[in-house]
Amino acid sequence: MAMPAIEVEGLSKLYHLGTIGRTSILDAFERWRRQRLGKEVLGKIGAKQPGLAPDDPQAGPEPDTFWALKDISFSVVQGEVLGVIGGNGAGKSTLFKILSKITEPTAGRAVLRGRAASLLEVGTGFHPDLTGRENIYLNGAILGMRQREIEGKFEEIVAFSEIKKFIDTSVKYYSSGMYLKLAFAVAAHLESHILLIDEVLAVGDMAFQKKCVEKMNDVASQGRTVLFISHNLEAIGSLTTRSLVFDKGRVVFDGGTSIALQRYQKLMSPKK
Amino acid sequence: MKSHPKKEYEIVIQPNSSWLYFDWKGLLEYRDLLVLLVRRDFLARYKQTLLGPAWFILQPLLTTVIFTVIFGKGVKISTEGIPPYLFYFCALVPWSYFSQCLSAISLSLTGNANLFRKVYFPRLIIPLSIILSNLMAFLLQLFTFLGFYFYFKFFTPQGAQIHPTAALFFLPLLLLQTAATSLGVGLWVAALTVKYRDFQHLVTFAVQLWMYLTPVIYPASVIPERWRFLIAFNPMAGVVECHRYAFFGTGMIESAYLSISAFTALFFLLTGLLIFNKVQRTFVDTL
Repeated sequence: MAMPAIEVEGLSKLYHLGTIGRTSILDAFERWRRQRLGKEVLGKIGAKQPGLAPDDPQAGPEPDTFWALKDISFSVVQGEVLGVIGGNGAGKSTLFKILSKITEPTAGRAVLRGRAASLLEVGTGFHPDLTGRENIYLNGAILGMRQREIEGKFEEIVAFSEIKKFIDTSVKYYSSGMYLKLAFAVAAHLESHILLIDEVLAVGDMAFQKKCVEKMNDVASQGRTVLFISHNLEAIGSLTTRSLVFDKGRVVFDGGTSIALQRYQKLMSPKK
Repeated sequence: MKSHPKKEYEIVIQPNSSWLYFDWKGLLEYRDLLVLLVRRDFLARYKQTLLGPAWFILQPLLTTVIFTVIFGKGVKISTEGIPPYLFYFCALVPWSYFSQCLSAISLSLTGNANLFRKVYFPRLIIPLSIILSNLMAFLLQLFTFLGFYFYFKFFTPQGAQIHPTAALFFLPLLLLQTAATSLGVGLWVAALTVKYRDFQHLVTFAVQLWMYLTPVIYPASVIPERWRFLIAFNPMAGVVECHRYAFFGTGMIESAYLSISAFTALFFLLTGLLIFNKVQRTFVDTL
């Protein structure tokens, strides 16, 4: 039996509440001082610092920390399209960032077998002063393509993006729709065995959106493994057969997409 | 059925606490990106400017004029018999390469935060591209300097008193030392800036101070004898003095000092790489 294309075992990510965002040396000193004081106080009365309630399942080992992901395990076989759904802050994006090597996990491990490419937000790395042509090359390289590869796919990318007329114009003069179309076209033509997609289908007008979904279906039917993270339940329903439901940093459901969607809707409905 | 992906593509993601782990292979895989980023820098930097690449030359030229007026005509610091404009220009060529690279690299992590938050590529690619794309400006400035130099040497009566020396052959090594120092120090600052934005404000000031601690507007010979050993620990002092010695045959060259300065540069480079490598793994969490 072939090894699974994506294997995730006990993956966890701990974040520090206080250190997110800007800090200065003075802040760091202050935090260090408070931590020392805090530890003494903690030892005396055994209370947690404000921030997360002590019984919160996401509370970390130290007062100012929380688990964005806690002990995630799943595997995806080659050629499978796996959906990932969950509310805001459920840990989907953190999982995505770890799998695409943007940040490191705190514990656990993940193995990706095959060349992996990720589509986060389209258009990242476009330079406004450069032309469409120059940006195709630059963006392709940022996404991990070799120059020769981009050359080979250039015509296809331009055709897909529907902006042939403007290919030698600086992209800062593009309309936002044209910009997104070009960006998606580059990303969609990545040659990879594993594709990680986070919310990129909401691009362009209706006709182009349809084209995007078709392209994704195409990708899936070529035997490539796809991890698809989205809030677009319709797209999840039509592209995937199996889905993970995330809640508070854990996988609460792993199975058929139709049941997963019901589970997700129940999670999202206000609790009585 | 598609063929099974090759074994070499297996990517293992896990917490990596070793300081010495370095992803050379990843860096090599993204070499095309390096080339394209360097190209982008050329193309984009002077788009929508009237003078375009002429700015590369104008910047040090104007600084030379300012220095000549203030320090040459006004304060009258010794230039060891060399016309002030040549004396300053000769030092400013390596110095402006150094300071441009250093300031740009210091900002490279925080300045590209939006990109780094969304895609992964070896973060070191950006600082490397800065080192390479500034080379173009360096070469243009060097050629401008050579123009002035040849004019002075062959078309003015005082030209006979300056003698180029064999040290000219070491210019590429000096360039290497300049690049290593700016990369090393720049990576340090970039890594520290991720957590403490204070360094971002400090770096402009520090570069300016560093210039006054380097024999750019004065010859090393005006430093009192007992403090002279200190400039051995400033890699840029060695570079600047050597540059002048190569073109004019003046200045103080001691091999002991030069080797110390080369080792200092190497030290900056290696520690800078280590700290940058450590920080880059999780820095998006703190940005």
